[in-house]
Amino acid sequence: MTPPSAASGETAAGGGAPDPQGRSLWQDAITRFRGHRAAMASTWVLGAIALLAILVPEFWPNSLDDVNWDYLESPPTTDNLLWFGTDVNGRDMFSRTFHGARISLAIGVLTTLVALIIGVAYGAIAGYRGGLPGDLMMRLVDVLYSLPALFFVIILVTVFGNSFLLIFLCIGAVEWLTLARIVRGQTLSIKEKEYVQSARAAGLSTPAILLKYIVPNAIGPVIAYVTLLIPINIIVESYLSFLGLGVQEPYTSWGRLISQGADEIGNAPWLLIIPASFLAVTLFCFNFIGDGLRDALDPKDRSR
Amino acid sequence: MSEPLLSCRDLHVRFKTHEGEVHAVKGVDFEVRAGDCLGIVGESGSGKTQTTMALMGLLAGNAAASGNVRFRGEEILNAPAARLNRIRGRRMSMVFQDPMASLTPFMRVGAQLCEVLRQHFGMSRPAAKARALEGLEIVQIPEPRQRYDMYPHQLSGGQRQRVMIAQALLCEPDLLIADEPTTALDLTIQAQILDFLRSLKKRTTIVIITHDLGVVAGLCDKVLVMQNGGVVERGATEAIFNASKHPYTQSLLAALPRPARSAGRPPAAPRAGMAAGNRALLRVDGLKVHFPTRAQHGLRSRTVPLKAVDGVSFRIEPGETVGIVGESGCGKSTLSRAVLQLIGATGGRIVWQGEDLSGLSRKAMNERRRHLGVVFQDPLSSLNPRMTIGSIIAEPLRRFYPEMGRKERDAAVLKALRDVGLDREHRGRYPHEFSGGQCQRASIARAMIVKPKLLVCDEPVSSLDVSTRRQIIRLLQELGGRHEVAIIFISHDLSVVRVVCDRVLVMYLGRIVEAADRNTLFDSPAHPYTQALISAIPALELASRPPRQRIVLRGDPPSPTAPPSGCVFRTRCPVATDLCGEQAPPLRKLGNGARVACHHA
Ligand SMILES: Nc1ncnc2c1ncn2[C@@H]1O[C@H](COP(=O)(O)OP(=O)(O)OP(=O)(O)O)[C@@H](O)[C@H]1O
Ligand code: SF4
Ligand SMILES: [Mg+2]
Repeated sequence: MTPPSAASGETAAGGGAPDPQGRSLWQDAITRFRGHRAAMASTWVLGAIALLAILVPEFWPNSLDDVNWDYLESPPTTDNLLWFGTDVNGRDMFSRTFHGARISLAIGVLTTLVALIIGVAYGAIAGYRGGLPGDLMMRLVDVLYSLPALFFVIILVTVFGNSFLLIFLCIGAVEWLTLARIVRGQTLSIKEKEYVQSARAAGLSTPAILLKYIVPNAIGPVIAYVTLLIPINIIVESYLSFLGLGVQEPYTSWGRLISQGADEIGNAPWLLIIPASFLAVTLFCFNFIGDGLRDALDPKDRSR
Repeated sequence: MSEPLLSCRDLHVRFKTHEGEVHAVKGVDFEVRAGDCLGIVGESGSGKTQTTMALMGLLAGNAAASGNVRFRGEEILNAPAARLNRIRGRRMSMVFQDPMASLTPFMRVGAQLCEVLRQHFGMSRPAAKARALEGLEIVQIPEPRQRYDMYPHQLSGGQRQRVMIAQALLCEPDLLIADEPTTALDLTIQAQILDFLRSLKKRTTIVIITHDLGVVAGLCDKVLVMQNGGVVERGATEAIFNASKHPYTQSLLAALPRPARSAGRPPAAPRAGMAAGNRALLRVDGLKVHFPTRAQHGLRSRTVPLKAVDGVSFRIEPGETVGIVGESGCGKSTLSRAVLQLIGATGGRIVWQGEDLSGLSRKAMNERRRHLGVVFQDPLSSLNPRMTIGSIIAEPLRRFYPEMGRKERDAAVLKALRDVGLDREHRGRYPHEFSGGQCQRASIARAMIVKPKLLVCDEPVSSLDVSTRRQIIRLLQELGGRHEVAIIFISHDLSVVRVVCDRVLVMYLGRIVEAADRNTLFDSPAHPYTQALISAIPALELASRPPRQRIVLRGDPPSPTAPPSGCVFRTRCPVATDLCGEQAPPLRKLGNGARVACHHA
């Protein structure tokens, strides 16, 4: 969000040894993130899941809707590569899990990105502008808030049709509201800080102040919320598909797999356990990565 | 000789941190006898607060204390909390620096006082209330009954400090420890509190911790000077002030204003451009800044203007240093921000080099900002925590000279760093990795890198240590002289203004009450408020000498939402007459060139 503050990035122009000032917030953040063990481990785990989500649907011999008549609702087995077993219709759960991963991760990340961009921009502008326009902007948020979010998504999806792209646009368009509130609250306090006054006194334009001063300093709680939002969005998608508005058969998502698995919990627990564990692991990973990012983006945190 | 009340032998305090162990207090010895008034003096980081925290058993979790501390012969260092609680608060009380932080914000003042009594003595409610009211009276709070039912935020800083002292005194402790009890207060309020503490000496034994030798001078009998966690000098106040042996004490003493000596710097030679009629660098005409605030009138709430700045006029010539002084809340910062167009003016004009700034578009104004630098009070919070010092300093260059090459800009940053006394290695660091003084240097470098014509410094040294303060002032003076910048120097500290400024404006409640040359102002202050301010400077004066005529103002400044009629100062003025309530005195010129707003000056 901040352009790398480059003045310091210009190394040792005065000649001489490369002194340690080639650091910008982002370069520094990367170094610090690397030092955060849990976050790095989570990044690897998540990377592995994402890689499988990309590769499995392309190259796995069992496709997601092939019916294995001999293996209806089979527990995990090595036969026919049915490592995760099959569902009631005898479809390969391994393939379905990673198909689902593809969609769930995409929805989780992309919707959150949409919410993040709208929410941060809106909240920062409303907070920084303040006064009547800022208040009006927030009243609008309040009004939108009072509509039940899911209901709103349903309306959007039914009006604009049921496409994959639209789903995450819609969810994102609803969930920026909380982010806008968080960012506005932060902005209100940050803009009173003397460094913002000093930026104004240095003749910086409003967009520059928002980008270099407000947003980077408001980012902590935003990241914390965003790491919660990703799993929430994955679950929202599952409600939608349950209502027939999300991804449709034969395609699937973790949310769908979990709700289908829940129906069979008595006879085929693996149908629930497998996608649910993936969702849980992913959720933890995002949380740790969020922690790592928050610490990494705070120059004060030198403890790790 | 009798046993000392408190004795402290070979006290060490160590902190475990990520960077290893910090040895904050290194073998401190001292004792306090009943009836003493001891001053512990040292700059921030010298370990004076940690010493007392160790005494009180209030150290942070990562701290370890060793040594011997005896209170009335009983060992209390590292004693179990149960034993400490018998002593703490009851036999030995503490008053902290920040009164707001140590009062519970959502409890009424009276309730907080009563709680102490009920806890320690199990008093009944009415008895506790009577005792608490008595306590408030002892600390001379005006209208104690009314204050009893107020919340801490409804009190002024001085009143809160009095409540804190009242709370500490409630149990009639044998020993009162006050950590920087006046540092957060205004000069005139500090004078009130010091006056009060002097009268308290008869009642109880006091240990005062402060960085300001001036506070110690008029109050304490004995002094302990600390530096880097150790005691460097100790003795009777008189002896230390007259013949200190340690160079550190001497340097602290040298930083003190002496009442007899006149200003530290020869008066500025009249400059060529200062002849009348010449175009001023900045002219402020009848400037008003009113903030709309809500006030409760019975059941209805109304918007009333808070007149933070109310009709201020002055001019600033190129290269001149003008001081603006006044108590907290008198509108100094508001004035400076209005001059910089950071907040909009309600009325009046600001003319910069012959051009009215209020008519300019935001864009045009931003262009003018190249010549308007600013340095704020809080060194750390005036630097963006997410930017390195290098990029912070380079930013104005990027803004105003976007065509400048990277090499050139880098060279300029290095030069700016050198000019303010920072190392080139420093530019890759973040603000929080610096001390207050270093941050302030960086702020100055940022402001000066585009060579402004006017530098507005809003309390640039108020949050710094005495010795750092002196360095920063010297730096400002030197840069100001070298680059011919005019400086507006805002401060509530007259001793600093006296060293730095050519001319001084004294503000009270949003108005200028006196404007004069530095020497005229300090040698013959005309306005009663200026006189009180000058007499409140804690100077190098000993308690044993006959005190100089001190003017201690009564009460607090009135609220700027409802300034008094006529002369705004009349509610606290020692020489007010009926005329003062009827007519506002205009700013008129006296024979010695000073301009004064007072009927009787
Ligand atoms: N944005 C604002 N809204 C309402 N009132 C304000 C605002 N800013 C300042 N004030 C009020 O204006 C008055 C003057 O404030 P200002 O900050 O200028 O005082 P000051 O002289 O700089 O004090 P200090 O020495 O404490 O810095 C105060 O009563 C303050 O409460
Ligand atoms: S005009 Fe009256 S009240 Fe005001 S300062 Fe002068 S003597 Fe005091
Ligand atoms: Mg101020």
